[in-house]
Amino acid sequence: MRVLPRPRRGPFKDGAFTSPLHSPRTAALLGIALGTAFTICFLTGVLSHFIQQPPVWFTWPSRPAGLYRVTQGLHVATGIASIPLLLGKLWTVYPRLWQWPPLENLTHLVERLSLFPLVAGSVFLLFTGIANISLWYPWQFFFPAGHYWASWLTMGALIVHLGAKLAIVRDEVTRRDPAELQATTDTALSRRGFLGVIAGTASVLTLTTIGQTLSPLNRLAVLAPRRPDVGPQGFPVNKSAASAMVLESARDAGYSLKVTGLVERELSLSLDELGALRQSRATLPISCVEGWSATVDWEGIAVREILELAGVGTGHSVRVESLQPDGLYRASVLNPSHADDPDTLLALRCNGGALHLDHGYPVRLIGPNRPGVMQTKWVKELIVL
Amino acid sequence: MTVPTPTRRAFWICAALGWLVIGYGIWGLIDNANRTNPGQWIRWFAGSLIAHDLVVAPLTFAFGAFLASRTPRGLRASFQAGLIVSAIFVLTTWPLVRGYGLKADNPSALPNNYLAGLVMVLVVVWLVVVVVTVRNWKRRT
Repeated sequence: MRVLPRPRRGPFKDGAFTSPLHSPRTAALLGIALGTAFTICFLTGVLSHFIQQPPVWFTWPSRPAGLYRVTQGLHVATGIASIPLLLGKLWTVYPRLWQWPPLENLTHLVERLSLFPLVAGSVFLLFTGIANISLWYPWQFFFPAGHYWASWLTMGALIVHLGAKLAIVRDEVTRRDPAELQATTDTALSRRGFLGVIAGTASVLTLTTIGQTLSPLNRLAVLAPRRPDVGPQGFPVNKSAASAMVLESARDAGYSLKVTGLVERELSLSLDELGALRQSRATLPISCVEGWSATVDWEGIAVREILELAGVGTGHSVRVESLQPDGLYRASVLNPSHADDPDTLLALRCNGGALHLDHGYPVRLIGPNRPGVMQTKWVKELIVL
Repeated sequence: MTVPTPTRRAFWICAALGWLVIGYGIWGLIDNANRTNPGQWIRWFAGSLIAHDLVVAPLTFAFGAFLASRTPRGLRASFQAGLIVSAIFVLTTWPLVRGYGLKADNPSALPNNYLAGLVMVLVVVWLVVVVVTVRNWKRRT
């Protein structure tokens, strides 16, 4: 193979990158932190995807009631904390983008090719994730699908990268820093200083956002997209009645809840009839896929109770349909574990008052351990499957 | 790059597994084309790489070199630290500060004054930078 002459301009120039921080050790340490964070995001993300679109072998239980709140809170918080880690990591290794020769051998080719999905995917996932929790959608694809499939590409590329860098990482973490890199000098940050700044940024980002799901830190959450105590009846709304186009149908005096499907007797219950049934109470979180959550006191009729009225035994799945005319989230399925849980309610009231229209008046579904988008609002019909 | 044999084996195992997973991701994107809109998706995916590697990173390096050449030696490290934190905070909170996602029908979404929040964080960050700089300077003299 003919050896290409090395260009001498721009990033190829000798001494184009002078900082001693562009070192394998900085890269290795940041890489370990970022790899761990991405793995947490990936696992919690895939879990959330499976809960919403379960494969045949997967069943999500209704207990523990607050599990989804933890896994999804972790997904978003870890993603936010990854931003400084990723930017620090990319800055550290940036000179290697311009290494010469660009390709050394087959191993190097396989490794470098994987950097396209790795860098593109990492930036894409954090950018789309942040935009999504900021409710900003400048693109024309469905966010959950685009974000989900990008995560597989990114994780695959991360596995290739890990294989290529395993030996370097092992060497670097067992070696001690030379003395000149241990202390901050007059002219530039030391490695410890740099890593400290990155870690500090991640910590402050977390402190100013995590209160959207961890209510004791609520008051610090000045940069959180939601506050668990802000909204009608003291908690946030994701989709309003106006945007769901149910302003009229939800307030229709002739409203009745239908129970159909594999039932012994079909039911049609007016609001008065629902109010006359035995009311149950449950304190359950509403846990949004966007990482916020709020604990709410709910009151209504247990789904199990209604199924019994319709002569339905245990072990059935139930499709819960909304008055919402269209949209991917206009219906959700209760698997048997959720349908039979005594705390899975068709709520008529919350936090001591009648449901606010934006929280799903006249009737909404609320069950333990479910993503917010599967807590169907403005319920029109239960279809027993 | 010469690597010892056991690591070579680990590399090829990881490479095979990793590219398999990448392949699954590409299959998923195409198989769910009605939702992923691959033509659009690829623009944002490749755009992320280009935006970082050819725009944000070169600007960061150029800006850093420019500032370093004009900052007194004793202040460089502190200045560098303050700027890293500030830049990341501005970048991360930009959509919130600009209120791109605000909706008239849902006041509970994005309820904070994010500009005030960002300014508050930046003030605290730069106060810490000043305190650390003064302390280091005193220790040296």
